[in-house]
Amino acid sequence: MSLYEFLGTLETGFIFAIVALGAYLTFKILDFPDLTVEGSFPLGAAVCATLIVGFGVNPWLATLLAGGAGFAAGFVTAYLNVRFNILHILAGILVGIALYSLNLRIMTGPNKALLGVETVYSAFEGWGYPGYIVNPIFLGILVLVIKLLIDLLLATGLGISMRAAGANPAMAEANGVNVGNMKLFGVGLANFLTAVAGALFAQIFGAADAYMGIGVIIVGLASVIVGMSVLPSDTIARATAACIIGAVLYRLAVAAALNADFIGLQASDVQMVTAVLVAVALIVQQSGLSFLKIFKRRSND
Amino acid sequence: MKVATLIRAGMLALATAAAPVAHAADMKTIAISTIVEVPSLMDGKQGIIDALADRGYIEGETLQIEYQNANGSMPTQQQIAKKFVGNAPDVIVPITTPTAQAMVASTKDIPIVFVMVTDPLKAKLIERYEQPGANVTGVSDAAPIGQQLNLMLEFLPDMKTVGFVYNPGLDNALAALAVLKEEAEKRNLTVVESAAPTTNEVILATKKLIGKVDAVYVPDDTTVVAAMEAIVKIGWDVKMPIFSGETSGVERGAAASVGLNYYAVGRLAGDMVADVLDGKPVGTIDAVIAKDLNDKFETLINKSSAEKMGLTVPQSTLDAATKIFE
Repeated sequence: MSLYEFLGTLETGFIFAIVALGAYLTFKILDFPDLTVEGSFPLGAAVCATLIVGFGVNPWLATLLAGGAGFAAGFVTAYLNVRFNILHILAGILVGIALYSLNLRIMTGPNKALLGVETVYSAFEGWGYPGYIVNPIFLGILVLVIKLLIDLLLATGLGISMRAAGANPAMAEANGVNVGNMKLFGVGLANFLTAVAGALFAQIFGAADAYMGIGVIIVGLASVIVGMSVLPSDTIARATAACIIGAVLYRLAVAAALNADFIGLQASDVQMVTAVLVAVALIVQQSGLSFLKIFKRRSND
Repeated sequence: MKVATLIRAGMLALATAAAPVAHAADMKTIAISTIVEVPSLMDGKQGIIDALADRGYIEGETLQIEYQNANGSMPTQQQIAKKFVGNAPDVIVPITTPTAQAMVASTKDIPIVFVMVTDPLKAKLIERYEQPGANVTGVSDAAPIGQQLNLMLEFLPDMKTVGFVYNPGLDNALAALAVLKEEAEKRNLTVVESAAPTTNEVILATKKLIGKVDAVYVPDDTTVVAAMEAIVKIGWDVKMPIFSGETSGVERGAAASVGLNYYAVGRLAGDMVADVLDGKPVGTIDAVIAKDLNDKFETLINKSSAEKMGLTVPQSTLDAATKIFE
């Protein structure tokens, strides 16, 4: 793997770490499996690209507004669940499907090119270092900041209420937590993050595309699970760090699959190789953990 | 200050380490990628490889080809773009629009020859077809819709209205609609649109056209094409002629089609790649629209199906066909 490819892998990994952090909020904290992200990721890309190309909006503002659109999408999903009792998975699927059409409307077509326009990455061009070096550093710092903000949020009264609402809704309700409101805010926030990730990805990819969301939920969840198996996450700070590590590891698995041609694998085997690598990582980690336990028990004897 | 200096030194070291690797002088390298593997795209890929071989760039002998398929995933496509740029091949050949966009966003230096992109101007891959300048040129595969209408008029000289079943979510379908309207106007024809966002809605969308149109044109639209047999069945039942923008639709029952031969389109791109490998600056090679180069077509007719739709196949059309299904 060339350094260029490695840095590109980190770049994509950091963008998907933002998706993973969103998935952590819904999947782990709120216990709300949220499929909206398959639509909110391309929604973020679509809104951002349309604002930049069509309306000349500053790319940073466009990225933020894309996040706002994502929040609205997540809010609708949670609202369908909270207000109308539609099963969370189904609510997410419904909003995701609707977003597909909405994205086509926003972009007036399935693809909006972002080539040759100013993006958030343009800001670093004047520094004299090539984008393939600066962009992953920028994205790494951004992910770290988002992680720390989530850590802080989850330590506030609001955050503790969110955690309670996910862990034990009945008891949270009994203690005066409005579980519905927590879902509205939490799922909204998760989709804010996903849409921001979509916007950042589109700007680096050179286009927003209606089919950009395919598999985003799987990548998000796989990142959370892989990360948590690698880094035992008994605290919030470690759990969010695990999400970032997991997202990067997932991308490294894909990169490894892309470089697996020497063992006779074909280009079309990438998906399978990625799945196998992730599975192996999980299995090795689990056996590793049990080794650790055995070792600890012995040393205690 | 010290930290800043360290970071700067580190970045410089990274920049130096990532400098493109030099290849052996006698062996040229190209890197091909596509977002998905479907037959037309694979035909195009074969065309590229064969055209290169005819120009002396034979895979494994004088040419090394790296091929990657993103399996439908844009993030994977992005990683492939980075991998290609890191390997610094002599030419990058992206197949399809999003693939080309990812490659163009990733390098301003390595020559890129795209293929199977319907509208490279809208996709912002190039600014103009003639002498595109930068490091990008390629081949547009916009469908030969004018020729398609001509073929339909050979069957139905009195045709006034054309039905168009399409997925409004597909770029190529929308592009086809725009061109169809333009070409229809030149021939005093009216286009009646019928949208089918999913394959399940294709039957309804087709039935909506019954009695309103003289013939139906099915574009090269994966959503609608997936239900080709169902559309053909309706055509047989109510004697409504069905024509296909995609040549493979004819074998499945469409009356006839004139389409691009994707292998031939690929060969066009392969020749451009060979030009670049020969040393021609990529920005001086004109990008082309394959359908404007008139020997890139094939005309297919399904005789028995056409008759079930109430059509008689004109002898002249039969004579001109490249392939006839009985």
